[in-house]
Amino acid sequence: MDEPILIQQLQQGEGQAFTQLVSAYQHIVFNTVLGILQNREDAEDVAQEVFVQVYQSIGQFKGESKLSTWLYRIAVTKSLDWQRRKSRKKRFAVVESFFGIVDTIRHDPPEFHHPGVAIENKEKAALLFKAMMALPENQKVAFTLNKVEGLSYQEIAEVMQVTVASVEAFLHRAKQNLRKELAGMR
Amino acid sequence: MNNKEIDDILNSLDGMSKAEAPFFFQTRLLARLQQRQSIPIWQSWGAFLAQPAFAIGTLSLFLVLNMVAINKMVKNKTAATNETADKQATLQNFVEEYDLSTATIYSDAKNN
Repeated sequence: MDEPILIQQLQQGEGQAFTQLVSAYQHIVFNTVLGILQNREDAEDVAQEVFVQVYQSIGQFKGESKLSTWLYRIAVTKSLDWQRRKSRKKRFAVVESFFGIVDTIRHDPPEFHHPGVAIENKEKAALLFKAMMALPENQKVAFTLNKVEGLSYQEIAEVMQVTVASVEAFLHRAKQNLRKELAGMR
Repeated sequence: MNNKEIDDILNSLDGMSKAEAPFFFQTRLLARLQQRQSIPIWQSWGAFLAQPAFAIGTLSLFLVLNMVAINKMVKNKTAATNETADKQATLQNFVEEYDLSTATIYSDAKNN
């Protein structure tokens, strides 16, 4: 369906249009979120929240960007928010442990294996995903959108609302940092 | 880890395919939307008010307001005390200047 017509129907609250939107974009949203969060259950939760937000705020979408760009942007924002909340909970858990308030066994998360990676690359990809977790947010987002989602520099620039030069810089620095991180791994 | 190994790892995502959303994604999403729409407004506000950040912020605001009020009260009390002391001093000066002490009045009355 033509995008402007789909947007119009979404803004008019047509359920069929929303179903069509979800069918068309659920995989790209899920893949993007999975690449950032590296956890299937969290990714499904966050991906659903992306569409909930789209449902609630489609009236505010002015069509200045493509629908897909808008969806990517919400997916990235929600994923980063989720990660920040999780980090805060972990930090608070450290404080709790000082006071002896410990009721869960904390352990390092297991290795993440992306389902789309070829079998012969699985172990290397797992190391790469682990190293990606240590990247600053902008670099992590740019690297994920480029390598996991396959977006071009121009598309990434539109999602992140930065220049193409900035995207190049993020990716260059991401690779440098990943090299350092990987060199430090056994 | 040598540079060749690191290069291989950096290129390990090349040619990967995209992950697909779980099978019942859309069904669960619609259920989530229905649930959100059926939450009464007071419950959603309650959830917001129960957040630690909101509670701590409100408590801090109350503490600050109380401290300001107490400070103001203490200042007013000090000012009132000073005013009373000033009035007493003025009155005493007046009494001394016009020789109006009780002893004087009684002795004047006795003499008269």
